[in-house]
Amino acid sequence: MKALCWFGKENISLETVDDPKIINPRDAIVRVSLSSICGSDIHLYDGVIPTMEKGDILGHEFMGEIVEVGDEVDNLERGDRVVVPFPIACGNCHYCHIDSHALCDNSNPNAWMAEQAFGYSPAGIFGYSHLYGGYAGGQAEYVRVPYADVGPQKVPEELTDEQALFVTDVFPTGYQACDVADFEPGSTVAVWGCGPVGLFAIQCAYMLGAERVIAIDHIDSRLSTARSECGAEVLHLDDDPILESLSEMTGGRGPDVCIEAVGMEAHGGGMVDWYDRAKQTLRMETGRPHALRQAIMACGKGGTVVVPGVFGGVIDKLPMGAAFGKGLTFKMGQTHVHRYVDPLFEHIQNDEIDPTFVITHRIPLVEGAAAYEMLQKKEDNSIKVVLTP
Amino acid sequence: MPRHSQTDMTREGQRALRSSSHTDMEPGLEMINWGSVLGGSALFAYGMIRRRGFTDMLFAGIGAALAYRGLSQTELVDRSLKRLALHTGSTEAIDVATSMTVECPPEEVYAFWRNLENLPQFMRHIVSVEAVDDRNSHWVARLPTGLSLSWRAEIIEDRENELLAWKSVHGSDIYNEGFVTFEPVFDGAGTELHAHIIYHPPAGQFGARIASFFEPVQAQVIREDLRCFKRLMETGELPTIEGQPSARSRDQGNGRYERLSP
Repeated sequence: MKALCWFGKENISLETVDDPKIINPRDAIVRVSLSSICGSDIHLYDGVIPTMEKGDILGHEFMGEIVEVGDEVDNLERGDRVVVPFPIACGNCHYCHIDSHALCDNSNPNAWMAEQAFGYSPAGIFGYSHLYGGYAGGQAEYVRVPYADVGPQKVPEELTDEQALFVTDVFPTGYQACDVADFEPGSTVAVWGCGPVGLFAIQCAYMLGAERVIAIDHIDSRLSTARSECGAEVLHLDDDPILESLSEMTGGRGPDVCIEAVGMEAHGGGMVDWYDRAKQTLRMETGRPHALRQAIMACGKGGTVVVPGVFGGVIDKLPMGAAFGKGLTFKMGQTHVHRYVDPLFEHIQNDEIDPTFVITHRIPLVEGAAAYEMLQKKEDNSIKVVLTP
Repeated sequence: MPRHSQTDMTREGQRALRSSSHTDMEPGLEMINWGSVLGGSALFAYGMIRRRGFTDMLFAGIGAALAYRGLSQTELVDRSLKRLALHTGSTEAIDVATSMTVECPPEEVYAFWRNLENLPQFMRHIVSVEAVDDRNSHWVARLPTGLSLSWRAEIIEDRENELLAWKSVHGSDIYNEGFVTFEPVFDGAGTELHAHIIYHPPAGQFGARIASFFEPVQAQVIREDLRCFKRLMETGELPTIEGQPSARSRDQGNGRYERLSP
């Protein structure tokens, strides 16, 4: 089959590889009908996520049709149209029992490695480094899905593939950011980053009762989508004084919730940005947490900073004094997609949201490598690229 | 002994090990016929030093044969030599403690463990465990070097759903003792497993090779074994990426990161 494979920094190509097969009794094989490139895939393209291996198959946002199931999978059959949550979860461990599937104890074959890096191991993830299990991803024609009796969810008939696809990652990731912030109706939410996750976070903040959402980015086209599609007030990172503007817009109180949907490769400016870039290049720091620093400084007293943006290692110069002094709450982590699939399908079925608004490019899988470069450089007003095998 | 904080039940395990008679560290030397070895060696030496004629060479030959017979007559020579090498001299005991939480009630976890013949399913270096009777079992392990070791273990304390302690008995290739405790968590829906294993590793050059296997990675090996146990109990299978596609050729491997175990 054909698959997009990682070979190093800015080195991704379409390769012919073996078709996947059932390995464990709870596996299934999915014929991919649609996949997409996630913002976090760009971190892989940029080579800042450790433990990728040359030849790894990429992709953790995908859906398709069940073509084969293992002996222990009895809730799915050939022909079922499913979405596959990006974290791989066993459904049996303590964390799965409390619906925290991204923290599954059992799905990461390299748990020992993650324990050395993080203390305890999170769940395995499709196509996202060997620290997260080294599972082959879904930017391919076929993919093996472990614990298929737990992960894949059948798609309601009236939804199109494009409507359902983002329930695998970016939609619930934006939703979880608002859900875990647990804000009061009438709150003000600020969102750093107007990529797909940030855009969904804006929509979900309104769905969950926020009165105002203020979006921050440095790309005009994304800010304009945030304003026109999602109804956010917008601030331009390069033109507006962010901290002062947020204070002014909230009567001097600051936002109640600050969502950092940027992650480890934030664009900043000035001396600190050069400092971060130098340290990241020298691997002395694995992230450039400019947006996170700003979110902490901007957040109002007693507020909550939520981090759906991906971080992979160690970062410097976080203003902990500000976080402590203002009594902030931090929430973060990979998304527990499994717990959101059904409620989000309902929101789509009720016409409360149409997730396809983030799609800017529809291209065949064979042109996927070029799409990575386009997304990395944010060319052609790109936000979300979907790939058809 | 332990470097970690203790629960009441692990204290019970420690007590069980202490109250049992001290681990028998016999060196395997009793298997050697020392009269034959020493007499034969003396005769061999006498003959070799004089070397004046046929009689002296005959003495040397007979002496060598006697010495060999002294080493080999009780059991196969390789077995006595192996045990001699394993137990001559002493090194510090390797003391490994590790914990794992299993999302199954203590009754299930204990029952699986108490059926000792289940253990090779997750102890990756154990080839077989054969229950001799209710308290005694025969263990065979294979080291990465290909060397196979066997021992007989006796259960010295058995508290249903709570504690299992064992000790290897006289004549074992490698002496070990330990205990596993099973404590309920999550309102009895889960089990906290504390394993504590003490090895008395062999010395000498031969022993050093074995100890180098045991020492640095032993805690990780036991931890990984426990993780396999947890995963089998909870999910019925072990997660793997072995056999999945990638754009690597076969000689580049499958990209799987080897566990820290050898």
